[in-house]
Amino acid sequence: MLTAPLLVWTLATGGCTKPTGWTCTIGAYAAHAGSAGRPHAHPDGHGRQAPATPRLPIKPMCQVTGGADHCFTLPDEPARTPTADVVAMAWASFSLPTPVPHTNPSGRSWVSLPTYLWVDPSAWKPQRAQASVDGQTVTMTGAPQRVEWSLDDTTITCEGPGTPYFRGGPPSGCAYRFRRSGSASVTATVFYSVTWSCTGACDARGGSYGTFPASGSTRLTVREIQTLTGG
Amino acid sequence: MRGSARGPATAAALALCLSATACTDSATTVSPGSLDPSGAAESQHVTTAAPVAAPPTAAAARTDVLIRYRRFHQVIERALATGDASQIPDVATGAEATRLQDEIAADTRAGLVRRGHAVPHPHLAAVRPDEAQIIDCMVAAGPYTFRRDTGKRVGDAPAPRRYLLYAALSHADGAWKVTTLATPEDSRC
Repeated sequence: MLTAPLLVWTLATGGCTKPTGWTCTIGAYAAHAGSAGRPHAHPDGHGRQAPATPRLPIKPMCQVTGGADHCFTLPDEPARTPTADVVAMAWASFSLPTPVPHTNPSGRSWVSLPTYLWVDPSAWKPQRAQASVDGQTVTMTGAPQRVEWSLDDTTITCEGPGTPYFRGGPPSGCAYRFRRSGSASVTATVFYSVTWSCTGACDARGGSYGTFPASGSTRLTVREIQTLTGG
Repeated sequence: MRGSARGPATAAALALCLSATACTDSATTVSPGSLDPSGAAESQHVTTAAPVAAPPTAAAARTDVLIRYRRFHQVIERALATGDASQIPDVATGAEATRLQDEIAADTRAGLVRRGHAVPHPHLAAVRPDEAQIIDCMVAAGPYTFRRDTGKRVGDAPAPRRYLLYAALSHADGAWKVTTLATPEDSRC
């Protein structure tokens, strides 16, 4: 705890000659050094003298002071946080869901057969995160734009989540015909366009943050059907 | 000043991963004592103090310390988010560097990453040739913990807030590096 000797400050005129001492920008000294560590007179609940809580006058240095024994600095009132940093804070909490790729047939498909591809439609929706600091609230929104499917050494792009297969259902615009048999890794990468908007005391009102991917994979065994033709 | 609980301390340095131990230890090296800034009339003048007429070398050191302190936060932010602790020895040293590296290694083993963003508002409290002390009223969001494999966020999502943070730096290997970080028990500023 602080004691009076520690608080006796070497002010500008006296302390600049010590080459290895602290250089302080704000200092404190005990104006009444003799009383700084003295117990207060108020008793605690058991009738004992409570130890003093030092109450120290704080004096600004008239100039940067070198060679002091100790320095004390109080935190400044911080400046308002720039909106760009609030955007970064919102981004830090932002999460993109991992897509779950589906195929039909699932688990096993066939060469040249249109294999439907889709990601869970329930996850095809904007994702949001928010951060509020210093009277400004940034809302970050990630909207799914497209899915890139990597399979069979090929990448195809679908503009939406794809269409789940069901008998008699509409044809899918997101399907792939495997060209060779074997074990295939199927990776769906959903690209989100991320934007932000700010309300309150903002430096700027909004903008684009970029496009970000989220990927999920599954495996598929592709087999080949040999057909005998001719007479 | 006593060490803070791990929760607020961790959040403070962008989860700059402050431990209770760090807080306690730092109290002895960066002790702000029990100053009562609100109780003394003179304290109202504190913010008017302006560093002037410093020797060029001291001014350069102060600038360098603050630059390196901000750099420290950038490196930690990135290391937590990527699990790559290789740059930590560039900005921290001693037990603090070891502790940060250990925490990131533990995250990696657990399949986690942590994301956050810290905005330091540092004030250089003291500096001498080989060590410096900083008081920082930082705004920090996070840390938010994510599973590395799914990207899914786990755990709490603390709202951004301000933290009072004490940092000590030493001049090691030709550069200023953080040696201790601490938050007071009451981390408001």
